[in-house]
Amino acid sequence: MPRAPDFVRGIASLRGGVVCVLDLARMLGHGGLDDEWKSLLVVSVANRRLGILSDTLPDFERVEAEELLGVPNTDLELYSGAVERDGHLIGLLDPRKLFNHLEARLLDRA
Amino acid sequence: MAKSEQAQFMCARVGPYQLVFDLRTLLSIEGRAVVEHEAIRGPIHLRDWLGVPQEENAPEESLLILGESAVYRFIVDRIERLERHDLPRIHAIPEVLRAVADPLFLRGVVELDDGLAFLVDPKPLALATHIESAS
Repeated sequence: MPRAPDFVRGIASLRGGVVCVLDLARMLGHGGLDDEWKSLLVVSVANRRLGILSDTLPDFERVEAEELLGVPNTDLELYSGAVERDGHLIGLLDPRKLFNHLEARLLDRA
Repeated sequence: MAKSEQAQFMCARVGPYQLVFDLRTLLSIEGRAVVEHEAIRGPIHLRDWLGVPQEENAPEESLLILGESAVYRFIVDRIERLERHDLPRIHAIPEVLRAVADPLFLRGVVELDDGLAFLVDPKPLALATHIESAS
């Protein structure tokens, strides 16, 4: 995408439409995935879709309500909560917050 | 499928980007055979407009569009081919990217046979670059 920040990796054709493809790792300042991504996670909010590159294949995990922890304390308001697995804290991305954050970053740049 | 449900596009390459122009917006395709004429304004280098660094010895080809009151020359790397596609292959720019795409006058995305291309709206782009270069 011309003049887009480097964490916007482009657009992709997907089931009758196109989606913006995001390198979330790069957006969060964790280095980019370059060409080592393995899957594209598509999130949808109010008919808007966004593709997120992932360097792992999809995995699903059931989280019980009582396992949910508070929102992680980070600079970016992207999470709706967190859960602990194997001693690691896993942030639960809130797609709506992700859209809002991305739009704000792109508007700043425009 | 009826012809009215299709559109014809001129495909062009600018750096890493594939662009398409609705054929109806083009006045002439010059390629490398540029005709100098005082009535032609520009050139408008799409590499500059899209933020693609200029490269020494990069190929340049040009096409002309008729603006509101002038003819403008656009410079691309290569004019590649003409394609005709059904309207369902034309998509809106993803909403989240509009803030970036609108100022560049990229109006949509077209599914070509070999990938996606940005649909350029050249008339307002010509006007915008003309105003920018005059100021």
